[in-house]
Amino acid sequence: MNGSRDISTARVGLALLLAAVAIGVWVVAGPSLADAQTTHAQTVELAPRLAPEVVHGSAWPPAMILVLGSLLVIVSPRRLRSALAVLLPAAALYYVWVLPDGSLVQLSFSGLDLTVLRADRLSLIFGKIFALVGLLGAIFAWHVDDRRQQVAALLYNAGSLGVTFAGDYFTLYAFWELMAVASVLLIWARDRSDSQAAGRRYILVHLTGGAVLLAGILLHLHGTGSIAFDRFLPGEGGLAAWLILVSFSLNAGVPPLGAWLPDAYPRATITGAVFMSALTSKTAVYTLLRGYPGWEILIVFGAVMAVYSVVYALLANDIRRILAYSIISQVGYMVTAVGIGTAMAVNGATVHAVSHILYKALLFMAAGAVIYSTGREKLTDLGGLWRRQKLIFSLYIVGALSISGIPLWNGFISKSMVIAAAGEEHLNGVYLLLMVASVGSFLHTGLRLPYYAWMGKDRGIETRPIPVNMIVAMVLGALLCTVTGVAPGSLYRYLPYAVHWNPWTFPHLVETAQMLLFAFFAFWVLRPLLVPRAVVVVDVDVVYRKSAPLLRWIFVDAVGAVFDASEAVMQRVAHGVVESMRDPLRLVPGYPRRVHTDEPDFDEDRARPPLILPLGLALAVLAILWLVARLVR
Amino acid sequence: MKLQRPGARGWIVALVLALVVIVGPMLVPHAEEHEAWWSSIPAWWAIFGLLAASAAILLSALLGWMFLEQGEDFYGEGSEGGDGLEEEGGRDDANTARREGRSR
Repeated sequence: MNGSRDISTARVGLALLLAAVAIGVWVVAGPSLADAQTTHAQTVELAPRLAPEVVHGSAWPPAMILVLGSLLVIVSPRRLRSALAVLLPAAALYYVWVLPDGSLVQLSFSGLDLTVLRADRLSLIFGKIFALVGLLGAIFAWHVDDRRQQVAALLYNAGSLGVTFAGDYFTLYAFWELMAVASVLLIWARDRSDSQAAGRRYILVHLTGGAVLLAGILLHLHGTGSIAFDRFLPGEGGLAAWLILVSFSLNAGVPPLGAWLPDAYPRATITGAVFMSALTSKTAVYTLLRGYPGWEILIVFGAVMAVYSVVYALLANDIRRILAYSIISQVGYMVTAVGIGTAMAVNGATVHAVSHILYKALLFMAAGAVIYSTGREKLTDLGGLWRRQKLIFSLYIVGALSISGIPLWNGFISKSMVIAAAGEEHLNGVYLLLMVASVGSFLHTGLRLPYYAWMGKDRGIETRPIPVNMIVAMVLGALLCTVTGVAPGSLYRYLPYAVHWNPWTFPHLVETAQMLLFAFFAFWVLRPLLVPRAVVVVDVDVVYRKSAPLLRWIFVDAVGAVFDASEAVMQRVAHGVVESMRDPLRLVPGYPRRVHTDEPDFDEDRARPPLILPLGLALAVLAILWLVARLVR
Repeated sequence: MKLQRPGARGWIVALVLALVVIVGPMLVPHAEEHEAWWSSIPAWWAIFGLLAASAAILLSALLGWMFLEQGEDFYGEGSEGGDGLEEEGGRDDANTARREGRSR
């Protein structure tokens, strides 16, 4: 439908949507934020800096296990390669798990002090979950015999661990770019034309973000003489801090910089998307937690992220695009918590990142299993799979219950900590917006997607068996979501700060039950409005996707035309100069121009004097010199 | 487009559940988790959940109908998620199978 609609309509509509969301956020959250603006920085006790007892050692950064291992994978035969693809992440996980709090490894390089390993409670919990999801993803991808994907996944995971344990900006930058390059290979490895195009857009966006990051780092180095990756106090750091913040926000998917995420993730390979769902945006959340706690602007952007992506997820047709938008929504909670910046908020962002990585990996694995077994990825082409995929459906539902914040699963014990942190700071508007986003997650990932993929009209789709390793990975993911939900202490004890909060309270249970039950009623009555349609949902990326031809004309075609014209002019000038040198008298006004004849204007042979003349002159000069010499003697 | 009407059994189940989650907590004295202006409104979170979900569905449907939803060839590359995967018998499937053909 709407195929003929004009692009300008979409742009205007998009601008209106963003404006409406921004105004809505300000109307709802504005008063509380306005109050907060004046008091937040002075009165809120930001999370204290983490300062573990330093343990200098000869440890290696965990990322090196995967970087060096990936070289081994490149040259290994098939069976060994498959084994290494699982064993290396397992080794990295073990190494991170036993890494002592306070580990520090510093190197000197070109006069700069690089901190290639800094382990504290914040980096350790993120390192553990990145290594764990790397292992889960590797198990899920064990059946894939594709050297590109195996190496790319290892390097991608290495990049995330490298960023997490980096104590300086140069180390961080190196691993940041490694992540971008490795992850794009997981998109291109799908070998489809739309994946190639999406990969090009993805790498272009991320290299631009990397350039902004580098500019910020260099400015920071110039201004402070330090490359240590540490906290910027709110409002300090000048342009350098803002550039670095923009780059981190781009990777976190903060609007309007986040359209790359739902553009790229559905185009990645089935197994590659599992890694992507867990690593890039959560690595960015880690860097924001490390560098920008208490920056109030992040509260607004986080709340916008959490809410605006609900609209897109409710409209999307591709199952992995729905999940991609729900990543943006969930990362919105974390970004909001970073902006609040208290110890409880930092804990909340961290525990929600961990929970989110687990259930989102599970959801992407389940969606990947559907695509693998049916060859279909759109809700309009799916339906009635319940009878043929009971196990996959059950495992997906575990992920859906988790993301919806249902008690007994980990979303309940993590999401609520972020919301409670907002409540603790009396940010009532933000509190309600995060609740709206929670309802939205329940609607699109908990109800709409499973309803139309598994429960809807049975289309008689033939399915093929799913490899055992994929099921094993999903079962492990579901177990982790459940265990951490039932026993939140198993997660809380790894958080950066001591936790003085209990999610299992009666009011919290009542609040969740009332809200989600009545949201379900609304879905049941209004679900005809959510019937999937075979459409494209226009996002902010329309700006660079549709303007690409214009930009190409400006920066490639027009520049080329100018160069061509310049060359033609220069050739004419050069020709004129040569002609003038051949016959300078033609420049004299009034000199009769030669009439063109068949005879050549100038014959070098005819114009050249006889050979005897220069020879005779030379001999005469020599004779004179000889005579003069004789006379002088 | 007709809105869905639950059957009699659906209404009964919904009513029972609603009563349980709304009336039940009223019978158990408890303090609110987060004191705010809405704390004094009875069954606030039930109202909120109903309104928030309805608003999200209606707003997304409206925005999609108005301008967010475009034809699948909007970007000139076949379709939103790919280029007719199912019509070609699952090209991604084929790619996966090709790679897996070399393995176990």
